[in-house]
Amino acid sequence: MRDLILVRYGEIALKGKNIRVFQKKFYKNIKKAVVQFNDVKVIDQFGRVYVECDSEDLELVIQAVTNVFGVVSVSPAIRVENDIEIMEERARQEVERLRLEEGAKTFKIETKRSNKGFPMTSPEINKRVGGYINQSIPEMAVDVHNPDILLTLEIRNWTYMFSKRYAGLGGMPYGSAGKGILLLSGGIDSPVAGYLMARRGMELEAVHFHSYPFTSERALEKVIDLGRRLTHYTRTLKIHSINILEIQKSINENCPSEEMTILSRVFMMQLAQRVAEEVGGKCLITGENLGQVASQTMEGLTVTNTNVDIPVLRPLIAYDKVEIIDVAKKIDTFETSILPYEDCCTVFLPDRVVTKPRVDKISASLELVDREGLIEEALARKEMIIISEGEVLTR
Amino acid sequence: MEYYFDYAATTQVALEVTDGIKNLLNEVYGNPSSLHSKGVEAEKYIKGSRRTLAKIIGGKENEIIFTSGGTESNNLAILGTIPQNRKGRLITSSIEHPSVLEVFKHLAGKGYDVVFLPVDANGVIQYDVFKEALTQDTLMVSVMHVNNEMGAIQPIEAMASEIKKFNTAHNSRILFHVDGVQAFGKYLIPKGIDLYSFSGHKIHGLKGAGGLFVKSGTSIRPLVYGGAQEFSIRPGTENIIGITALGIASELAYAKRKSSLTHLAEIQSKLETIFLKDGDCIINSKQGAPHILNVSFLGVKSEVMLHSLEMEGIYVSSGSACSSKKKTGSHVLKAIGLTDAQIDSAIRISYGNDTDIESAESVAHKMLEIAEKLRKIMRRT
Repeated sequence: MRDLILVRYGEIALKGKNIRVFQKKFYKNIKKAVVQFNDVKVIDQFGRVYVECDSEDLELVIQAVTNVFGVVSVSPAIRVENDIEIMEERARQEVERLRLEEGAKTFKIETKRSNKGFPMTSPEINKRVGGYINQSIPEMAVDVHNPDILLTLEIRNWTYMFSKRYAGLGGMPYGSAGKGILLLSGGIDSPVAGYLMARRGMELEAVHFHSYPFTSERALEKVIDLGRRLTHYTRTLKIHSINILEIQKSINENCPSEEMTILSRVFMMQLAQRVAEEVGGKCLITGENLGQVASQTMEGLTVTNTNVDIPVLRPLIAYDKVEIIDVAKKIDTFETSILPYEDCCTVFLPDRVVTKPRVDKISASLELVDREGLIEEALARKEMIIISEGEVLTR
Repeated sequence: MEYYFDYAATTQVALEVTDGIKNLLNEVYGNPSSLHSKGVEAEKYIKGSRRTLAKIIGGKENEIIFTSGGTESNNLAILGTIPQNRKGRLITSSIEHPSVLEVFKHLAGKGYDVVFLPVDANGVIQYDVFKEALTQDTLMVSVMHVNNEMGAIQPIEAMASEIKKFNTAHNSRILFHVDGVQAFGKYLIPKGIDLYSFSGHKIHGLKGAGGLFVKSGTSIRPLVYGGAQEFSIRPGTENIIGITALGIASELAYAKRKSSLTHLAEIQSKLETIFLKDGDCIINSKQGAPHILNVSFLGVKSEVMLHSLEMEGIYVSSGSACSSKKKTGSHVLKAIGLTDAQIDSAIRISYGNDTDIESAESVAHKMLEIAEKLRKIMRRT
């Protein structure tokens, strides 16, 4: 048995002359999302995407498709010829099936006639098909206000019938908005920030900083697990893992101790920018959230901003923590994020931290260490992890 | 080079064990409960292990119940024996393994009167507190033989005769359970106890198989229900491979028990001598089992120390592996009255019969050297 799924998109439809570019990307992304299933076919027809699959896989395919950015909703559908007798009979079968399987008692027929060549109007079709069902299934009653089954007939070059709608994530096709470098820490915020940017179409590549052996190897495993989750949406993800222990040691030895956090942060941004240059990233993405911790004050953000040249996108800047947690739970990164492994921000945490750093003072402190040398050395030992469809490909 | 010094967490499978279980994978794969010869053939292996364990423990074959390991044995020993319709007193110590401690905490929440006995600076139960804790409504005493974090040994046989005396005097029936997971293979099973838990993977057997000695006459119920395996106390198709491994490993351990105790004691004293020379080093384990040494490298967080050692191929533990995932300091080290500075920098070094003295010594020197290096880095923060 084969099933057909009808895929709807939203914002892409608002595009002008370049709409085909977005549509093509969208189509390709859906193809990639379902390639894991046997005998699955993705059809791109007049700006509409249909997925045909084995009935056994229906639920999993729906789940995979609804995780593709740009999808507003999907519906399992029945396709029949534009012939009113075939339509009414197939509609009857479908209503009968829902009556038996789900105990539906009332129904309504709703017609959308995009194909104006069809000789009947929408109200006429509703009346004809509804009347037919009403007569042939005595247990079913019509209810136009609050029906158990709302069966929609969409008349295009074929007629599509559906009664269920599964919501998608919305957004724009992944990879349609350039590449950004995500600073992925292992906490709750950064995976959410990455997810939100990816949903707007930005391709992600991640950078992770650690201070091994001062941080645990499990901290990196945790970041990889978060990366695995993100590939449910991005399909693949590269994580550049950079050890910044030497940098932290040097800051610790040479700079005022209360500036430890903000100075480390500056180095992280600069390292991330170097990765961006290397791989064609157009911006940095962080999970920073105004006022959450000492380095995320307006003064702190000013300092980190002045030390990089490309834009720093902070999609969570105005979120409340509970809102971030809600998204983290939705994308299933929360449970992993809260595992208690030390990250590189806490290893050298001084008793007192500067909450309102000044650009000039931080610049002066940066002069106290061998900035270029430290960055080069850290980059030289950079490692890369490639994750695809939840599996680590290379380490 | 790899220097594995985390034997109290788990051990390599002994080559003799590997040899002994090889044919169980593809040849002797029958279900011991099957009536045909495939089943009988498999059953022989279980029986063989049961005989070995009975002999070592000094009990009867029907007193050995195979389980999935220490945690299950401890749970079964406690939850399977306490009366279901009578709440009374349960006595344990404050330094038990989580598989005992958590069970008692759970029972305390259910309304049992649980007494957590304090220990002295050596980790030994304060005997007079124990004696006074025994009451007529006491249902069970459960303490560990050897502590997993710092090797403290409890006076099990003395406690057993104390309980026996009390039982006779008051016509009561207090059960005595001993968690022997860290002691098994190194010490003889103490006399006079009712239940004894042991595990295979701590003595070069396989993970996933252990057992519980249950003295005849002890009333015990299963925790899960099913078939008639393990006298209906632990139903489920037997882990033949694990149980066979447990038998072979136990036999090996007890065959060379005395010589290995001497060897382990020698390693321990060598390590102590080296560590004692360093003023920033405190040995937390005293007069305990010879295969565990607990040391604080003051000023160096144990997790940082652990990862730095690992970069040199040296594997040790901070606290015990089971509790190091929780961010709170070790409950054992707290109970013996260590300072926060000692607890935060404590490292557990544990080794086995196949550890050679020279590598233990060089590892000890390496530890001091690394600790000093780390102190320099951390100094300013």
